[in-house]
Parts: sequence; structure tokens; C-alpha cells
Amino acid sequence: MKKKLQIKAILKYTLLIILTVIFLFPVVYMIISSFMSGKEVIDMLDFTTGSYASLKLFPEDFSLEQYYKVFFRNSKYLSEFWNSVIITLPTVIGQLVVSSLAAFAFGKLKFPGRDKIFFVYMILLILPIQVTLVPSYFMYQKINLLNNVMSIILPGTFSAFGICLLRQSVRYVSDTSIEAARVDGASYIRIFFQIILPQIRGGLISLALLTFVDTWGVVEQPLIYFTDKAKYPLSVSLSASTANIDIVFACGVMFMIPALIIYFLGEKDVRSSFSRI
Amino acid sequence: MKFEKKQVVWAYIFLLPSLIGIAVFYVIPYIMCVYSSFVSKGSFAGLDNYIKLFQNKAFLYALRNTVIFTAVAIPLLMIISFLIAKFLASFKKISAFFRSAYLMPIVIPAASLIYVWQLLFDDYGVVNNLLSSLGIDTVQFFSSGFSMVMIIIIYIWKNCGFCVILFTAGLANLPKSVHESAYLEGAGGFKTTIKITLPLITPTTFFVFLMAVINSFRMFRESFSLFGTYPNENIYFLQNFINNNYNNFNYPQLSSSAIVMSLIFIGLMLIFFLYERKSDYLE
Amino acid sequence: MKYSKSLFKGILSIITVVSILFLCSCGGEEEYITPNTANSSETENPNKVTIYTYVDRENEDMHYDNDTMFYYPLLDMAHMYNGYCMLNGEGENSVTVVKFDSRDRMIQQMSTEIMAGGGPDIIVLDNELPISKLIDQGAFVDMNTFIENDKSEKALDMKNYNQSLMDTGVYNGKRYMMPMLYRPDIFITNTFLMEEYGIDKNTKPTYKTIGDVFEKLQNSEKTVSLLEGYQSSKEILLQYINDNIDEEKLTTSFDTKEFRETIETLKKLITKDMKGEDTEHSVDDNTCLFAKGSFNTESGIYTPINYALYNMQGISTDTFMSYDLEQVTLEEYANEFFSSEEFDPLNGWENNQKLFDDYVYEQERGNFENYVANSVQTTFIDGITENKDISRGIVTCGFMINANSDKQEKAYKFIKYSLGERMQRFISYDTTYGETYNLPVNNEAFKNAYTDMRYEENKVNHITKDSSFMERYINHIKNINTFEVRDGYYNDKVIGDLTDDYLEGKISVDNFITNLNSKTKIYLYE
Repeated sequence: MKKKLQIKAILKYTLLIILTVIFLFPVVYMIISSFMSGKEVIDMLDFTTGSYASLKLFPEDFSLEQYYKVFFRNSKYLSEFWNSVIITLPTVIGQLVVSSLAAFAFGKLKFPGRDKIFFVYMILLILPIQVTLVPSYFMYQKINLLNNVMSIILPGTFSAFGICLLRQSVRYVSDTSIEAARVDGASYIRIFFQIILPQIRGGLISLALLTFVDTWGVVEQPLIYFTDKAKYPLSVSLSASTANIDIVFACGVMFMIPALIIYFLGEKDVRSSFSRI
Repeated sequence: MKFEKKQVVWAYIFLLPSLIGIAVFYVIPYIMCVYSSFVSKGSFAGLDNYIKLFQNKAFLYALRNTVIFTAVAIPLLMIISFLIAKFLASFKKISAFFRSAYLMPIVIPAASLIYVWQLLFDDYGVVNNLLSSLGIDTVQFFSSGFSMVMIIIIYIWKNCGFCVILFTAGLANLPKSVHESAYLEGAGGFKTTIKITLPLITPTTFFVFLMAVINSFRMFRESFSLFGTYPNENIYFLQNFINNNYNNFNYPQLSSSAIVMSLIFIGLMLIFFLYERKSDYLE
Repeated sequence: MKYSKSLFKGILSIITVVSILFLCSCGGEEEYITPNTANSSETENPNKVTIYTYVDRENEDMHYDNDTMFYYPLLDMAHMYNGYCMLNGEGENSVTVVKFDSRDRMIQQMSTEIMAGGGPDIIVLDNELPISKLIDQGAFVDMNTFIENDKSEKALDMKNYNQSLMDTGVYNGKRYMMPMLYRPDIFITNTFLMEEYGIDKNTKPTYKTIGDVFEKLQNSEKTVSLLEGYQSSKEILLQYINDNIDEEKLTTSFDTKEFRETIETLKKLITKDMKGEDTEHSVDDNTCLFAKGSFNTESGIYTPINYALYNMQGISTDTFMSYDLEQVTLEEYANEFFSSEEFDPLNGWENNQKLFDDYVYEQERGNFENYVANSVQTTFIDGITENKDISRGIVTCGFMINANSDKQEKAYKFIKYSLGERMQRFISYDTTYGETYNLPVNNEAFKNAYTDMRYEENKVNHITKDSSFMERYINHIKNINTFEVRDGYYNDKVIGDLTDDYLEGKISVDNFITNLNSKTKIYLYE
């Protein structure tokens, strides 16, 4: 009996490790490849030789060439990195503010039409971006938002995603504490700041992370709304087929570092927050 | 139902920024899109655009592929992530590392990974290397029916971790007594899962579903980077159709297909709603 | 409950009011070009006819696009026309060119504006515009109505133009596009090389016979390629693919055995070009059999005449030596030359090289003149087609009038002027900067095309320029009996990458045909 359990445990752990490898592999491989020299990357991705490509778990000669090129040789990537920051940070902050306010209303306050409005929000949330891309363009053109970072920041700020996410967190805040505060004569603003906000901290961090990832990887909107190529964020030039193949992995690593930092900073909160959904 | 007047006023104050923003950036464009889907060459055309659309073979391809993708990838994603979540829950104690590892793919922006996918799935890529060394026929992932499989694999890989976290949380919230009583009554593991666990985590399931739908649109980024604007007919999605009609200046066709696409997803959501009425997600 | 309903209605009405306010503020303005658009040089005047063009910042002076190797003379045309308007007191007719710094940007802006009901008044036939699809959607105006309504002295008489050329712009009896320039699908070659490889100089190569040519090339020891380089080789493959599409019936013939064999042959030809010792063939190496035209490194001008001169220069020196002289003899000459007075160490390497060439030429004059007289003849040959009787020209520049435009009459005036002899002569002269030689559609201007050609004086003194070259070239062009408008959008956006992959050996021929079929099908149905 004991032996059977042991075998079962070994099988379970093997499966766990296999799964983890599957999930981590592409990411790890990208990091490994970022330490290859440009030539090695080009060779690796050259499928014209007629022989099959194989994985290189270690770079043949460890080199920082790619990073050197990205950071020092060409200012393009750094300035694009900065463009990404300019677009992403305001979006994340805006989304946090707008969503937490609205989530409080949806989650804890009773008002007429609440569920209907929320349903409309969810429907707007699942609309594919292509539906509104062109009409939005016409609209931004009229209100002079084209070629302006606002054309990406504002729709991101008002996305219904944060509301759906935070509403769940807000609902886990106990009603009794709010009632007690009400009895003490606290205003709704005070309740929001003193009771709700501290308790949905994890939710806020998860939202920040998810909004960040989403905005950081934005591709379609800048291509259509920005006339000035100098304003393109990093995601656009990385997804272009003409990307410089010899430094693409270093770019990718540079691209994912901010997201990883946020993730590791708030990791505990993020995971605990999901337990409230 | 009675409403406290002060509370209602405050609720709308809290809601106001979001209402204005949603109206301007989502509702108006959508209404504009609906309107233009009924207009052709500057005059009202009724359902003409839609009729033409359904006569267009390219659109039908796109529709077919989008439906296939949605019908296969989303349920598959939900099932796989539920199973992994159950699997993880079966460990008494598990390092946070494993959970973090599963969340990694969603943190990594799509653009960075394109070349890894290419290395793996090219005609002369690593997967084919493996297949040929095992003596199996190689697969042309970029040009055959397997492209769809490849897109679905990438989609599941990317979004699975997030859904696993959601399901794990949902499972953790279940009262233990539920399982125990079911066990005592002699129900098997599978039966317990279907009969008891699933209904109890419906709110979670709904949220996972919502996330899966939203993220399924984002797969277009990967598809676009891997296959270009004109992919082979197996993975020619509605997004491609819409995008290409943008380049062809065909606005009537663009807007009507965008509306059809949104209707599909709204319909999908309504079905889910009606089916999961018991869910307290919306009360 | 009543209370709740009224409040819900209230909220809905707020949203509606906000929406309507926004929509109103949107509808009020008529100006579609945002002030911050690209780098428009002239201040926007809503009464002026607008045309969009793109200017590569690095080549702004030349109005020349590096990607497409095509020179856009639009800015000069607008300038010339505006001057004409001023002189005739028609300042209100003048046109303005809005410059963009990339083609993609321009197309994107244009497509969005046209969909919004605006856009430039004149649309230029651009390589990446899916023109047949745009015509289907009624994006352009039928110019026949303007031609019929024009009762002035300067009315356009279509009889002065080659009908089959001008009819490339006619779809279902409506004239949507007015061609401005065209490019002949003609190769320049020389009889000497053709004879050397045993190719009959009088037969025009077709897709079927090109395989034989290839075999002859392959069997030879010298690294002679069929075409100048990868791009022009790819062009042939794309052309062949285009010839196998029936746009009317929306069918293709990619599944036939013949198609498969032909593209395999073409691929072999092209890969031979690519994998030659030096991938960048310079024409004076005499390594290509068929050339479209050539590039003068000093003046930066691409013309057929430059090709001929360079080619002959090559034959007189490089070819002459490498073909007819032993290394030993050459060394002897070199010793003689360096000890002679002609050699001046202070004179640069290049000058000495030229003097040396001249010296060798003088020594071997007897042999050489014989050689030139007997065998070297620049000649022309029609581009490869399916049918032997077809000789084709491809429209490279044309104008359409936007159906959304409220200045269609004015736009037509500009087009009419552009078809006149003066402007046509000017632009055909101007566009010799392009990859290939562009010919005017106006018959009078065409007659003068020979004298309008600009070329550099030949620097090698003993070669007199072949004055009959251009005449013969133009005469050959007169045989063109088929004119086409290329679907550059299809060639570039739809199958461009796929073709590259195939030629580079990334994918197999089966894979290529499957994909080609599926992409083309989608494109045609779309």
C-alpha cells in the first residue's frame, strides 16, 4: 500500500515537472537565446539550409552582443521602450482609478439599473477591437486625438475589464464593516478610501499587472492611430516581420522585464486576490 | 426594490467617469459601426451589406474558422486548466514556484515569443526534427490544416496558467465538508466533480470563460505575426477578413462583418448566461 | 420600481446625449486632413485639388522611394501645373500635394479617409492599391462623362492616344483610370551572347521555351545568369503567377502539371542567379543574358541607353580581355604599359586603368574591331509570356478621381493637362530616375522620347555611342500589343513573402502551390 502511494507520488511529481517545463520552456529559451551572438541567432533561425533546426540549450559562445546592440548601438529601441512607458503608465493608473470607483458602485452600492448596466459593460468588454477600430479612428480624427498617445491611453483607461475584475474583489469586503461605518456617519468617499481600497489591494495589483501586460503589448492601435513612426511603442517594431532578427531575443527580454518586475513585486497579492474571484 | 436616495446619487457619482468613458470610447464607435453596416455608397442599403457578406466565400471561410477556433479552443482551454487546477489541488503542499511558472506566459508579451514559435513549428523546425527522427511524417504547421492546431496550442499554452490560477482559487474556496459528504454517500471522484464541484464554482467558471473569450481575440496578434495578412485558408479568421477589408477600403463589408463577429460573441455570452442562470455572478 | 425605471432611463438618456453631442461635434467639420499629418509643406487650402504622395526623407530631393525604386514626379508635376494655372489666370484650379513619409502611412490614411467619405481628390495608381477591388466598390469617377462634357478647344481627344493602352483604365465601359506612363516589358541583350549559348536571337522566349534556355546556360562553364538580379527574377515568377489567374471567373490554374513544371524551371533559373559567385551582378561583367536597363553609378540614372553603353564598354575592355586574351599576353601588355610613358604613377588608379585599357585596345585593335563588327550587337527581346505573339507593356502611373471628391471637375483638368504633350514629355524625362525607363502615353511625347532621353557621355573614347540604339529601342516598343495594369497589392502583400520563401528554399514546391492556391482564393473572394 505504501509503495503504491509512493509510485503515485513520483508519477504526480513527474507530471508536475513536465507541465512546468512546458509552460516555462519558451520563456527560458528566449532568455537563453538572448545571450547568443547575432550570427548564431541568424544561423539558428535559418531554415533554408535544408536540415532541421534543433534546440540549443546553451549558447555556443556566450555573448552580450545583442544587449550591447540594443542599448548602445541604436537609440531606436530605447526610445521605443520609452514610448511604451509613456503609453502604459498612464493607462494603468487611469484604469486603476476609474475601475476601482466604478467597481465600488457595482459591488457594494444599490442603485437602479445596476445589473443591466453591468451586463452592457461585459458585452462591451468582449467586443473584439476590430469592431471599433475604424469608427474610433474617425472619431479621434474629429476630436484631434490622432497621433496622440491619448488615443491609446483613454480607451485603455476606460476599458470595462478592470471593473469586472475589481467588482469581485469589492464584493468580498464584508458588508458589516461598511454598515458600521455608515452608522458612524462616514461618507461614501471615506468608506471607499478607508475600507474598500485597503481590502482590495491584491485585486488592484493584479489589475495593474494585467492592464500593464495588455497595454505593453499593444500593436494594432498605434499602427492605425499614430502617423508619426517616432511615437511607435516597442511592441510594434517587435511584431513587425522586418524586425532585426539578430537582436530580437534581447529585445524580447527587455520587453518582458517590466512586466516580470511588477509580477514578482506583487506576486503574493496577485495570487491571493484571485482566490476572491 | 427600494433604493436609498443618497446611496443612488453617490453610486452614480462613483460611476460617472467610467460611464462617460465607456460611452465615448466604446458605445459611440459601436453605434457608428452598426450604422455604417447599413450604409453603402453613401445611402441607406438596408440588409444589402449583410446579404453580400454572406455571399462572400472569403467571409464564409473566415466565419467557419472563427467558429471552429472558438468552439474548440475555448472549451479545451477551460477543461485543461480545470484539470490542471484539480491536479495541483491534489498536492497537500506545493511550492509557489510552480504556480508562478504557470502564470508566466500571460506576463510575456506576444511579440517576444514569435521567433521561438517559428523555431519550433517551421517546416524545418524543432518539432519536425523530432517527428522525422521518430520516423513520423513531418507536418507543415505554417501551411496545412495543422496551422489551426498550432494556433490552438499557442492559445492554450498562453492562457492556461491564468485560468489555472482562477480555478485553483475557486476550488480553494469550496467548503471541505461538501466533498466529504459526497464521498461518504459513495459518489466517485468523477461524479463528485460533475455533480458538486462544477455547479459550486460556476462564478469562477464564468469568469474564466469571460477571460478566455477576451483572450481569444488577442490570438490575432500571434496569428498576424506568424502568418501575415494573408494566411492559408485554414486559419483565415474574421479578424483577417476585417483587416484586409480595411486595406481594400471596403467599409460596408468591414463594418457588417465586424457586427456579425460581435453578435457571435454576444450570443455566446447570452447562451452562457441563460445556461448558468443559477450563477450569482450577476445576481 | 417606478423610481428605479425613471432613473435608469435618466442614465440612458445621459449616455445618449453625450453620444449625440460627440457625434454632432464630429459631423461639423469637413476637413479630413489633420494638421499634424506627416509633413505637409503647403498650408491646406480646402479649395485646392489634393493628391497624396510619399517622400522618403533620405531621398527627399529626388522624390525617390528606396523600397520600390520608383521616382515620383508628382511634386514637379504639381509645380508645373500650378505655374500654368497662374499664367492663365486660373489660380483656383491649382493642385496641392500632401507628402507622407512612408507609403504604408499614406495608404492607411487614405483608406481611412476614403471610408469616412473624404480622401484626396486624385488618387495615384499605386503599386499597393488593390485597384480592381476599389473600382468594384465605386471608389472612382467615370472620366468619360468629363471627356464628353468638355466642349472647350483643349478638350481631350482620345484618338491621339493608343487605344489599347488607354483602355487599361476602362472597366465595363467606364473610364476610371487614366494611364500616364508605362513601362515596356522588353529585355536588352546582345546577339553575341545569345549566339554563344546557342539561343536563336529571333525567337521570343515563352514560359515553355525558357527551360531550354536554362539548360543551355546550365551546361556552359561561365557563370552567366539569365537576369540582372533577384528582384527582376522574382518579377518573372510573379508575372507567370499573374498570368495564371483569371480575375473575371475568379479561378486559377495553379494545380496543373504545367504550372508546377514551369515554376520549378523558373526557380532554378532564379536560384542560379542568386547563388552565382557574386550575387550582385554588375552589367559590365557581362554576366546576365537579359537585362531590363541599367544604372549609371555616377549620375544615378537608370536607363536602357546607359545599359547599352556600359555593356559595350564592358565588351571592349573586360570582356575582350577575359574572352580573347591569355593571361600571359595580358601580363606582357601590362609590363609594356608600366614601362611606357603613358603610365603616370601620380595619375589615380582609375585613370591608369583606363589608359591601360586603351593601350591594350590599341594593341589589339585589329582583333577587336573585327570582333565587334562580327558578333557584338545590342538587341531587344520581348519579355517572357505564355503566348509568342504577345508583347506587353505595363502601366506604371495613372490617375483616378475620388468619387467622394467635391472638386472632380478641377481634378479632371489637372489630369487632362497631365496628358498633354508638354507634361508628358516632362514626366517621361523626369521618371528616368526610376528602376526602368518609363514611356509617355501621349503619342507626340512618345515620338520625342528618344531625344528626351538623358544619358551620360561615354568616357571610353574609342567607343562611339550607338546612336541608333534608342531608335531601335523605341521601334521595338511600337510592337507592344498588350497593355496591363499590375496588381501590385496581390504581388506584394498577398503572395510576396510566400514567393520569397519559395525562392529561398524555405518551403517545398507542393507547399508553395497549396499556399498560393489558398491565398489567391481568399484574395479573389474577398
